[in-house]
Amino acid sequence: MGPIDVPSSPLIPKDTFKRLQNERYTEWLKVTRDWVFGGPDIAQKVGPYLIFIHSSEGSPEKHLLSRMDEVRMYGGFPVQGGGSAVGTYRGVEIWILHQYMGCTATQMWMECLAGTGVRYLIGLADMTAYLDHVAVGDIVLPSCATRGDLVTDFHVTADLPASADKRLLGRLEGKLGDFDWDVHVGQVYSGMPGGVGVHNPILRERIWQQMQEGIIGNAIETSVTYVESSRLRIRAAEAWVVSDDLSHGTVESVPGGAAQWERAWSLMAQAALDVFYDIADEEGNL
Amino acid sequence: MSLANDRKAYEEAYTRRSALTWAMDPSGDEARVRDWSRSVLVVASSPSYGGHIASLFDSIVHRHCYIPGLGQGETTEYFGGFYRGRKCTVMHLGITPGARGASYMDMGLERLRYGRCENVILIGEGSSIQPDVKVGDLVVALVTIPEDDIHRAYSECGAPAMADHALCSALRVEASQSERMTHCGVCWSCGAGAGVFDLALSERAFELHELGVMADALEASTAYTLGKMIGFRVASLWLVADSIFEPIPWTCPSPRLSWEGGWEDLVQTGLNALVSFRNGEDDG
Repeated sequence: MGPIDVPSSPLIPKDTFKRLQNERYTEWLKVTRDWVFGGPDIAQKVGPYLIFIHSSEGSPEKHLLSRMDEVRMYGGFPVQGGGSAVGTYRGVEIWILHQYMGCTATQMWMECLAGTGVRYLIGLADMTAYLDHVAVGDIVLPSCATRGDLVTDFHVTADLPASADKRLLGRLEGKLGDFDWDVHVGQVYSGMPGGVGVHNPILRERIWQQMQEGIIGNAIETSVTYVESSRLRIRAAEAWVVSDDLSHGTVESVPGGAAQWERAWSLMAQAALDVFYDIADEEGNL
Repeated sequence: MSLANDRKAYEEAYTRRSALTWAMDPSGDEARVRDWSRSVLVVASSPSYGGHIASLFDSIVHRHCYIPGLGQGETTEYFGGFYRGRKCTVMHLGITPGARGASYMDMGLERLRYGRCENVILIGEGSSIQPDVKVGDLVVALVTIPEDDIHRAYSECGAPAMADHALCSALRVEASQSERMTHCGVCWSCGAGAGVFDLALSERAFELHELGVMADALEASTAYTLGKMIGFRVASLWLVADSIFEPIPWTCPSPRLSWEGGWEDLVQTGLNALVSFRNGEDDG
């Protein structure tokens, strides 16, 4: 029979605790990074241009990989979770990650970018829209996000906004503007639970309030991505396709919704790759 | 008129949308598993050990699998069967490999909302902030401090989240049958990406260490708070997978320890507590 413990931990001096925590963090970063990127020391090889897919179904990375050459995949990629991919697009090396869902997971992935060569990040994912005029298949470019994630409060004060890199967002908007597609730029909410219809009076009221403020919808991982990118000195912007909304339902329940959704992913992938090509061209990295 | 200007229309749309989100074919596999038992073991991890867990059952009666690429007879994440002659259900939170976290916890409980579930034991992996709570030990989280990524969606006051006392007692009794050291007390639902190892949390981690908080139990806070709102009894048991005071032993963030390295005892303790706790209505 195993004993039931009566707490009796010895008192640990604060500096000892901090030293040990620092050692553990170093170990944590090494093993987590190796898992996130899909192999030992791959993180050290990552270049400046990263496409970061937040938990999305339907293997959206196919829209990226099919446009790239010399693709290599590490770890479990392209399944959501550990592993990464790298390839070239018109001669520019571009890396891809696909995290699993949620704000905690996003922060874990972002922490793994610390000290790497990543300087630009474009996040792609699908989201819930609140407002009537934003329909399934539309694309949303979050200029800023209300920080409902709670976990970034550990790293920066709660009053700081989660904002996109204005120039990078502008580039995305410019590329997407070349297509005949509905694109909305504005403020989103970020946090869980992600969708609408959750059985919760707090959320029901909160979403109503957000609609009054003109918030487009819930892009769960945007605030963590933007805040952590700022902390890590990475320029970040995101594009989200609407997979469901309050007025009309889900991709599956809207006539033609699935086709619209796939097409939007294709456009976002094209825009992201073209933006990185332009930046690489300007920076002399071709 | 838009929904944003019409509260009545908003309420109707929200209700419609809610029905769409949580609709379940009453004759489908998922509903059959959901309605199988009043006792559910929720596994805060991907279904990596689903096959091992299923093998502990006398028989599996209903299965539901919605992870792409997995099918009948393969590792599954949601099933109902007989464990030691009694009905029991197992649900894995991970809808993708490696998935865990409070975000998954609320979806898991919502999927149980309209079924027969009454008793939930959550199991998962935690991180110790006490030197005598060692890797491989078990921890019963009586109370958790909610600092995960989702808690304010369910409780704006930030009060500690409480486990069901009676279910915790059942866990303690069953845990004492294992060879593993078992601790009972206050835990921390820490939502930082690096968990208790996040350097920005060193002051907070030390403060909680000094207060005697034992370990990070990430999903417990949401499980207790939302579970209570739905009407479930919820308790949780944690396998210490790493510690501030020991070198990190794992190479994959979820699940971190092996089946033999602790998960087998963790699962069996949870299942034993569930079947010992409730009355005989669900007996085979």
